[in-house]
Parts: sequence; C-alpha cells; structure tokens
Amino acid sequence: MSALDRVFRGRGLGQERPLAAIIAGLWRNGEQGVWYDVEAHRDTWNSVGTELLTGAWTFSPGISGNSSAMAFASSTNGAAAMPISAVSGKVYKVTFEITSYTSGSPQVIIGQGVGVPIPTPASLGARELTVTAGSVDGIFRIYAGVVGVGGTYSIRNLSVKEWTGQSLCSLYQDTAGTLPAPMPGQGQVDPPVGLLLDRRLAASTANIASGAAWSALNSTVSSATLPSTATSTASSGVFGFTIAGFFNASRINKWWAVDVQWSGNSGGGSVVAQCGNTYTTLGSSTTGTITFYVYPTTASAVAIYTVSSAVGQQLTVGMVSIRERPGNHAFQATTTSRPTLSARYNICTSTENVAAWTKVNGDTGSVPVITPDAGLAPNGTMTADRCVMERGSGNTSAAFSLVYTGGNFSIATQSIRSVWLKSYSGAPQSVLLYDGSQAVGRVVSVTADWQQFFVIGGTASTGTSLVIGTRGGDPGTYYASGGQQSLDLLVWGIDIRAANDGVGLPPYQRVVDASTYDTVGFPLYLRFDGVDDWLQTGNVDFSGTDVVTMATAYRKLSDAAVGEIFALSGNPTTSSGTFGFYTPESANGTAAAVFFARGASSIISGQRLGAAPISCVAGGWVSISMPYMRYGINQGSSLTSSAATGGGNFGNYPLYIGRRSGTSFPFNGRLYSLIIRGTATPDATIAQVERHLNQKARIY
Amino acid sequence: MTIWTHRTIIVPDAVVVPARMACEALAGSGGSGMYTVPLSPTGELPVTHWVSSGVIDQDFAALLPTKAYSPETDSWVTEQSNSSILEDLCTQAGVPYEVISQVLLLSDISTQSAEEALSRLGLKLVQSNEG
Repeated sequence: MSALDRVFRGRGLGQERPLAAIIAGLWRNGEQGVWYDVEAHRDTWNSVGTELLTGAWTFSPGISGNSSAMAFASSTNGAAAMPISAVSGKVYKVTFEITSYTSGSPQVIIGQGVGVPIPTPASLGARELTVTAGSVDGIFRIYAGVVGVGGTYSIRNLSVKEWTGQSLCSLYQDTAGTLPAPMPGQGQVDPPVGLLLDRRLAASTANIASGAAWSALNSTVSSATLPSTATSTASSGVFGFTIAGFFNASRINKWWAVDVQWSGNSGGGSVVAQCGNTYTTLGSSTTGTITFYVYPTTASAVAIYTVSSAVGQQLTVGMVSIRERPGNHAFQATTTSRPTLSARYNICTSTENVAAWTKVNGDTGSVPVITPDAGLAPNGTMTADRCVMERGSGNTSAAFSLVYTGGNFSIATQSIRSVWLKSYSGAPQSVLLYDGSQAVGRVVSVTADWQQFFVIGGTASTGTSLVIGTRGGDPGTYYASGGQQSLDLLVWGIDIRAANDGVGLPPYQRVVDASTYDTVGFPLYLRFDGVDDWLQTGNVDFSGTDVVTMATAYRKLSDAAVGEIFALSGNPTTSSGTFGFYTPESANGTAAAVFFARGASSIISGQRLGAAPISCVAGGWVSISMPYMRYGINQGSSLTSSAATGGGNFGNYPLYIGRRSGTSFPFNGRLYSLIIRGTATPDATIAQVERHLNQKARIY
Repeated sequence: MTIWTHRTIIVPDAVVVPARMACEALAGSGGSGMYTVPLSPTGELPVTHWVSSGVIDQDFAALLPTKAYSPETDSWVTEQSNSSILEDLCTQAGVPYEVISQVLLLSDISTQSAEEALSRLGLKLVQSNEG
C-alpha cells in the first residue's frame, strides 16, 4: 500500500475504502481530483518485498529494543545498528512510526551513504523514507541525534525493504499514448512528455465497439463485424473500415483507450486510426497490435484505414476495442511544447573522464598528463584516471599545472563542487582545489584512501567550475595558490550542483553527457522551459464544490517573468470559480508561491517569498464560499486569508499546467508532483501529503 | 523508435503565419500550435519574432537548415539540409515549397536553448501585463 493510499484511505469520507474506490466515489459525488506524480514513473511496488532487518541489533548507550519497538534516550549521537544486505547506489524504503518524541534530530543511514533526516520528528505517526545506500559497509543505522547531541524518542514497526514505487501514472512521449517515455539519462534526449495518464483509473469500462457493424470505406468488406478484410476498390486515396458518427456528442471530450489488432496489410502502407478528429498512425507492418489513447473534441466517425495504391489491396482487421478511460489526463499535442522528463542534478559532463576536461599549465608548469582508467574507483569500477601534474620550480601564481571542468546554471546559483581524489603513489599529497570564477578555494590532503573533497562557497553565479592541481603563490593569501610541486593522483567523479537542490541525494551523480547519466536516487521531474512548455486536461468539473485542496512540489528556476504552474481555466483571474498558482507573480518578482482562487467576483490569494532558484513543497486549501484560504510552503507557518470572493462554487474548466491557457506566463522550472482535490481535507492530512511529496522530491 | 533532438526555431513575424501552417501540414498534430511565444528586442510590443523551443523528431530536424558555431570563423554558420526531401514532402502535403524555403531562409534554427538563442539574437520574451 503506497503512502498516498494510507493518506487518503477513508480520510474525509469517514470510512475505510481503498484508493481506487475513493476516486470512483469522488466522481460519483461530484468531487473531482487530479493527481500527477512524476516520481511514479519508477518501478511498480513489490507488495511482498523482502524485509532486510532480519539480523541482530547492536545499540549505543541509551538505545534499546528491537524492530517492533525501539527507544532512544541517548545523550550523544549513538545509533541502533544492524547488518543488512544492501547494494551501494540502490534505493531502499524505510518505514516506521514515531510514537513519542522529546528531543533530537534523528537520521537514517545505509552503508556509508548520506544520512536522511527524519522530518519533523515531533509530529508523531508514520514515516516513509527513501534512502540510497552509500559505499557499502553493509550496516543500517538509525541515529539518536546529530553529532555531539543525542535524542529522546521512540519508534515502532521499523522496516527496511528494497524500494520500488507505485506507478501513479504512465508517461508517454506523444499525446496518443503510443510511445512510453523511457527513463531519462539512458542515452537518449530526456524524453518529452505528451500524455500523463493516471493509471489508477483503469480502463474497466465497456467496449463500445464490441459487435459494432463496420461499413466499407472505399472498399468492399468480407464481413460487417470484425474480424473482416477490406479490399480496395480504387487505386488511390484511402480504404478500410468506418462507422459514421461513432464519436457523437456524448463521446467527445473524453479519453478513450483504443486497442486495434490487424493481421493483413498487403500494401504495406501505414495503418491509421481515426477517432473523431484525432488521427493515430498505428504502424505499417503486415500484422500488429497496439493500444493508444485518444481525446476527440469534434464529433465524427471512427475509421481504420490505409493508403491504396492499387485496386484489390487488402487490409484485415481482427479486433477494435474502444473503452472510456475516465479521468482528466494531462496532454500536449505540439512536440516542441512538451515538458521533458529529467533527473539531472550534476551540471558537469564527462564526470569520470578527466581526459575530456581542460588541462592548463603556466610558467614552469607542465601540461597535466592523463592516463585513463588507471585505477580502481570508489564504486569498484576501473574508471579512475591517473593525473600527473608538475608545477616546476616556479613559485608565483603564474606557475601552475591544473585540470578543470565546470558547467552553467540557467540562473545565478550558489553551487557545491566535489571530486574524489586518491594518491596514486600512496604517499600523502597536498592538492589545490578552487573555483576560479568564485574566488573560493582550499588546499586538501590527499592520502592513499579515496576521499570526496568539497569546495563550497562563493556568490551565486551562472558559471562555476572546479580546478584541481598545483599553483604557485601564497596559499594563505590567495585562494588559487597551493598544492605541492609534483602531484600524482587518481581523480574521479566530479560533481557540481546547486547548493539548495535536494536534501539527502546521492553525493555524486555520474554524467557522461546531457543524455546519459545516472538516475537512481535522484528524484524525477518534468522540466518546463519557461518558453512554451505546457500541459492541459479536459474540463475538470469542480462545480459541485466550493473547496479545493492542493499540494505540489516544484523548483522555480527564474524570476524574470511571471510563471503559472497550474490554473483551473484559461482565464483564472477573470472567470468565476477558478484557482491557480504562480511563481513568480510578476516579472522580476520574488514570490516563491502565490496560491489564489476567484469566486464570483474577486480573488483571494496569499504569497510566500523566495527568489529563484528555490525548491518548494506547497500545501493548503481554499474555500471561496466561506471565504478562507490557508496554505504554506516547506512546512513553514501557514498563510491565511479571508478576503471576499463573491462566493459560489468552483467551475468546470480545463486545468492548465505550466502556462496560462497555453499562451502566456510560461513556468520556468521543475514540477515533481501535483495533487488537487475538490473537497475539504484536514490540515494534518495535508501536512502528511506534503511530507509524502517531499520524500519523493527531497526538497527539505 | 522516435529519436528526439532539440531545436530552437525563431521565425520573423512577417512569415509566422505560413510557418505555422507549414508545420501543421508537414508534421500533423505534433506540428500544430507552434510559434505562439512572441519576441521583440525590447520585450515590449510590437512583436518582431516568434519562437518554439523543444524536442522534435530527428528525421524532421534533419530537413531544417540549422545554425552551428564555427570556431574557425568565430561566427554562426548555417549547415545545409536535404532540400530535395523537404521539397518532396511539401509536394505531398500540398504546401508550396517556395514559401517554405523563404520561411527557412529568414528563420533562425539552432540547437541552442531558447535562452542562449535569444541572447545571441538580442531578443526577449514579450511580457504580458496581466497578473
């Protein structure tokens, strides 16, 4: 059962029901919900996942118990520890319940990975963390508190399983849903997303094409019902099967799942399916089976046909199934206007290929000599490059031998720079690390063991780099001086990312190029380019309610122009019964969040500030009849408003995501999740949903 | 399997109508709704150009003359595309090739991001005053 299932299981409806039935109930009761979760593109849940906490616990002083019930009363940051079988880089699901809390900032670590803080421990109840295993020492640890400070709290029902996630939606590259969006970073351009199909609304409706009588289209047919063979009666044009007026007024403006199976295509041309005013190319093979999705908006026929180049050509169709796919699935027909699915955080490329970096030398310094794949890297692969740098006798800053690489952000950003270094010779070496554009650097001591060194600081900038090597001058007075005269190093895994981009993410992301990079442990997001990317749904009927609950996780990457993340209606500030979300609210504005709603006459809204780049999880609700609004970002204090709205209920409009009405205010940034629910939701539940979204987006 | 590639296409206002019609005729629904983002040197009206930026089918991208940076000349040069294939497609789609070739001649097509392309050409998004 997913965390979202637990959150909404019966909440607000007073009884226990599984989520799918709750959604069905929402439709029947006139409430509407829209749920999009980019994170859900991962694997499906393994409902019987193997429990990894099967060994014996060892406890630091002040900690006792077992997986079922464990108490922390430690004055230092001791841990409860158990050996587990974990793979470095793999993601694990850690679940438990906090039953009491007094003090401490507990966190969880698998192997020697990055500690994942337990968010808001003072809020008792269930927790679900996704934790990436670090370089393996094979031990799961849960700490009492941070370094030097303990903690007092208790937990129960602690579980660690291999993480696989519930697919809440299917992502497709095209609006017809024939091309699934692959996992990004796998050697192709980050896939465009033309259709977000909510998988929880399964196609269990009746096949309205079952037993239908098909007419001949420029052909003769062997049978009025399928299976049937159409034989072309003309040497040009199209031929096949059709049913006039099939997509009538009651069938348009809805989503349909269409299955077509054909077993004969003598002409070899593309087989096309017309559903109302939508045309989907199925393929040109002799036989084929395909499922696709259509959203016809104009009443018209259904037809299956191909191009005729001679009389007597034949097309044999075995089956056509047309089932309604309830729900308001987001789509984008224009290929250049589709957001892209991505998980890129490290702005460098060739992160394990030092030969591709820039090599420079000055005065008595020599050009660095790179030997690729000369040593075992921290991840156990033979991908660490040997780097020999000689400064020579020069002792001014003009004498240097350096390697470097970097990248650019779309907006001035503070960055975290890191690289793994190890002495090739085995002897300790002092090495200079710095960012030339940021006037920040340090001299580090490299040993015979791998260490990940960080250079943090400097002002926000669009360009940043990490320089490694040796340079003359006084390291005490100049950030870019230092390092011993001769260096012989193994270098691996450079990583430069925004300082405020994600919490608890793996500290290194391998990037070969813009299309090829590791994604495990890195939250997925849809990237909206701030120019022309957007999605829309069909009309979502909120007319039965005056209350809307929303929760969304996103990252704002520009303040240059108004960005609308979502809005009900293409005219949300002038139409009645609308709501929406801006970031920023104006050109050169700094609002991190503006949630607004409009009743019959006026707008109620609230703003939270935060200049780009900034990541947020926003959650709250609004009633235009009360009127009242309450929402917050990043678990901060809630903003409330009682501004008059003119009352009424919300309307029946399309939901636009990423750009108002598809024509203005393009959002520049990332969208991780979006949940909209047309009913009141308890504040505690909203907070739980926000925690759920944050666990996926890793924003705080 | 569709192979996608990124293009930023900037079209002068004078030819945006035939550009939109041609894209829809040649690329179907995927080519509809293009060039809807207005540009100008000042970011204010009047609009001088329109832009679409995103991924397109690599086969289609190969038909578009694309600008690339030449280090030798320190300038942006246009790489030639297969005009004969494009002419055939125009004929099949009923789109006058001479109109398309003129649109392509006046347009700026590159692999840059929209921000980079706009910066190179000295153009800005035209902002709406509505809030």
